[in-house]
Amino acid sequence: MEPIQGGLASSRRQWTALLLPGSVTLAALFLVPLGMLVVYSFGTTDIVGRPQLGLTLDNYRLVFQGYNASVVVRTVEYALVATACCLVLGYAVAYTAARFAGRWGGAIVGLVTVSWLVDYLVRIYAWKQLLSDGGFVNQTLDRLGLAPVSLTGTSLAVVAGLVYGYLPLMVLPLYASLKDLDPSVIDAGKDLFGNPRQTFLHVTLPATRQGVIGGCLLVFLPVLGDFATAQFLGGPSNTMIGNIISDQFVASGSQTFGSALAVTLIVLLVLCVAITAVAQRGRGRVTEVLP
Amino acid sequence: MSASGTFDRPRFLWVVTGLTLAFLFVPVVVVTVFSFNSSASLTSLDGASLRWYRAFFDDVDLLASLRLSVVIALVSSVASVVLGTLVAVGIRRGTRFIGGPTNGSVFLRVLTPETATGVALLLLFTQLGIPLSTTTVVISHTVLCLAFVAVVVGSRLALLSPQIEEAAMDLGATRLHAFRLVALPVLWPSIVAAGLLAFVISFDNFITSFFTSGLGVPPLPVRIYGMLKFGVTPVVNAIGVLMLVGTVVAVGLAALLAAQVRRLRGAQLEEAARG
Amino acid sequence: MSPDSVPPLLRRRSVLSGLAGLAGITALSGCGDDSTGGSPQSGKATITPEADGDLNWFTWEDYVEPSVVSDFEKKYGVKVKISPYDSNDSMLQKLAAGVPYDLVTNNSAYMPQSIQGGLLMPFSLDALDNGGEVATYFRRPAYDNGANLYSVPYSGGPTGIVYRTDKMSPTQSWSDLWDNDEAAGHVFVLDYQPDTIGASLLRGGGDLNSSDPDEVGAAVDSLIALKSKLGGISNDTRTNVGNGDAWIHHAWVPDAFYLMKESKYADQLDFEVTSEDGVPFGMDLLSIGANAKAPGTAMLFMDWILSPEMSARNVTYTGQLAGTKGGDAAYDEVMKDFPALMVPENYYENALWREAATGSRKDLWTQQWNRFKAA
Repeated sequence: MEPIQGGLASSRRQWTALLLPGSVTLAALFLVPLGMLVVYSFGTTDIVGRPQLGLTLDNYRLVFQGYNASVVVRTVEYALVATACCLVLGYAVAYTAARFAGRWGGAIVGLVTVSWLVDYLVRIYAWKQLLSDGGFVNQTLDRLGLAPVSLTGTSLAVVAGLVYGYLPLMVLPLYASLKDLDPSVIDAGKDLFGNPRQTFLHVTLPATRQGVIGGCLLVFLPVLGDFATAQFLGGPSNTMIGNIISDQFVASGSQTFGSALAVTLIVLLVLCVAITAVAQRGRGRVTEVLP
Repeated sequence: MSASGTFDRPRFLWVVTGLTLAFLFVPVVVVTVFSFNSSASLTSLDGASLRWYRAFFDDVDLLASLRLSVVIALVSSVASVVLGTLVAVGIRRGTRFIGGPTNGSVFLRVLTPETATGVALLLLFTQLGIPLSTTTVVISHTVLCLAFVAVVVGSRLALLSPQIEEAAMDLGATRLHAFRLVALPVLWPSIVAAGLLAFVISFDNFITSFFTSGLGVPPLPVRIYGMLKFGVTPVVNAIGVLMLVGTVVAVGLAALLAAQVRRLRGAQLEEAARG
Repeated sequence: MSPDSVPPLLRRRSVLSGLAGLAGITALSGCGDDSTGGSPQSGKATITPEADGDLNWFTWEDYVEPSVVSDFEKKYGVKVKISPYDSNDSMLQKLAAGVPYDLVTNNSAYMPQSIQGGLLMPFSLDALDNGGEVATYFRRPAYDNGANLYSVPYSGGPTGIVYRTDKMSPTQSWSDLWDNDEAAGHVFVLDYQPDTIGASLLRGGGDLNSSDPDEVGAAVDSLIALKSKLGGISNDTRTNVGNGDAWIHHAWVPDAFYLMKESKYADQLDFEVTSEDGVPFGMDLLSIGANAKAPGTAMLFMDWILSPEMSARNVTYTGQLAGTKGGDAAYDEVMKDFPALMVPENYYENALWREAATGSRKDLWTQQWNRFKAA
């Protein structure tokens, strides 16, 4: 998308100047702390748990213990399923909002975000109250003479919680890209393919590829590091990698081991994204995947 | 008709959309209903009352926490929207030399677990001798939200062809002017959405808030977290409802304002095209 | 501030200079002063109790009887600003980062580290009018027995099991968590490494603070075996029991006490201590932060809390021992309705005190705990 135009260099400089404040902020307050995590991951801790400079691989040795593998696999499973559910539901919502809702489209997307305005933890606790053994759902079942069901503490509860928590992040980019899609393109597709399914698969979906990839990454990546959902809705066997990492920093754990675990997770994710990017023909750069 | 028709059948899509919205709003409804419960129970309704709202408005400390969190969220969402939008645009239009690494950092920020960076920020501030305060919370929230803003605005920007701006420039506009006239109106909805997202992320944030706040009034999520853990929830429900109503009113006003601005912009654009 | 009093800060700074070197950010070196350092004040403990500013208190949420605070504010004309934390470990991190809290609710298990790390200011009990109220044990407790005193007792109790009387009969053993098959899916253990591994160790006849890898490994193996019967690993005792999910919950006293007084299931709840296997005990303490700006007010507040009346109010509110003569007398009174919580003579001297792990024991416990969580 290079503009073929005179004064290119000077305009690039202008844009770069505008970019700088954000870049510097990110470098100072994100890259430096991230760098500190990398350094700590080779370090040890002092008596009150503060990381100390060191050059040990002990933390990484502990990362690659067999028992961590099951958490990683479980986490990736949850994240994949949750992302897929978010994509299907989010696409339906975004499509309805962008194509059929007319001027109410914005309102629908607004509603999706508005649900977020009540503090996340308050909403999670509300789910707990609803689904608990003595909660509304089970009380109603009881009144109807049906057997109570345990709804919290399962994989299903965690995945549903993740979908619940991250859906808006899927809807926003999808809506943006669907909104920009010229409806006549879809009509032309209908003429060409005859049936809506083919049109969707061959025209609409490819045309909104950017939104799909953006939304999926916005959901998938943070979900891999999520800990609150499994902590509040999960049972003893639904621990995600984010819980183990968070334990090292906010509970009786080791910050240096936590750093090593976080760094490993980040490296793996970067590799995943790089592979995705390479697999996408003609789009070799990682930076092309995220806008 | 077969299932293959589903993607062009509004009725089916409306049902899915309705159910999805219901799914998102169930807990909000629960919170609202129980905020008017006359007893402290969170599982059974015992008549309506404003007891918890009164309790909230009588609690000076909670009100102070709420005020603080609103200020933090406002400042950091505005700052992150400005910085994040510039980053999104700069990554696309600026030099690769800086744009590339910036893009990489945005991406890393989205995927780095917040517990890890929260503690790292605490240690960074400590080692630089910066006392923890509301300022350190605002700065930390800004960085956190900036990445999300850049992603949301960027995904919209990716679909914008620079050729339209070039056409405007052919008509005599400078590059920045052309951007303002052509790209900004298109980006505007996503900037507003990103701002809302940033506000919510900041307002809800517990982890980073806990580690980067200093003495004095704690941000609201830090209070709420403790209260939820120790079973003092009815007041928390009332706070949730008040926040919801407050923000919806604020967003509604902002939307009206934005519509007004758009109308003005449209007139300007027409004028520019004519001139 | 003498140079030899700041080693913790220097050690921490070295991490940053190492990083700065790596990243080539030379500009960072030399930045900042020592305003946030946690430096132990050497020499004599000479803080006098007098109002020298508003009090910043770092403590658990909902862990003081509200009128105790408001009456103090009224009497001395100062504000008490509470910053809540939700785990001992995050408390230690913020304190270690040098945040100038005046008063900190520390825990006996974390006291040796806090003192060695130079995070606290020493003081003398003699300076407090109510110093004589402090129970004998806490004048020179095992966790705080150096040349100076760094803490007064605040509130403490055993870790035990809160249970639904219609679902379980107590055997005063940790096995109650393991052996109630009908309660499968409704048993919860605390998400707190020292207590949860500790309970399993005690059940197997081991040492509460074991550093033997085999013993700790075996204790965690039986915890993993317990997982199939667990409903969760959680500290939200009040929610889990209050909403009916948990029938048998590994618990701290204030939560159990609250549930037994106020929850929907109050009439069906009781608490047991595991006297057959061993009862883990810890005491929350009041200490003065090393960087306190109002240590005098902190002293005043400690004096206030130690007074028989305030102590008694807190005991009635939290259901825990206070470590003071007046408070513990009130405790005996309050617990007449809760016989399971009554304590014998010389309780503190004979209690099994929890100790937070450090060094190689910390590595061992952390890894074993991760193994349990991951399974």
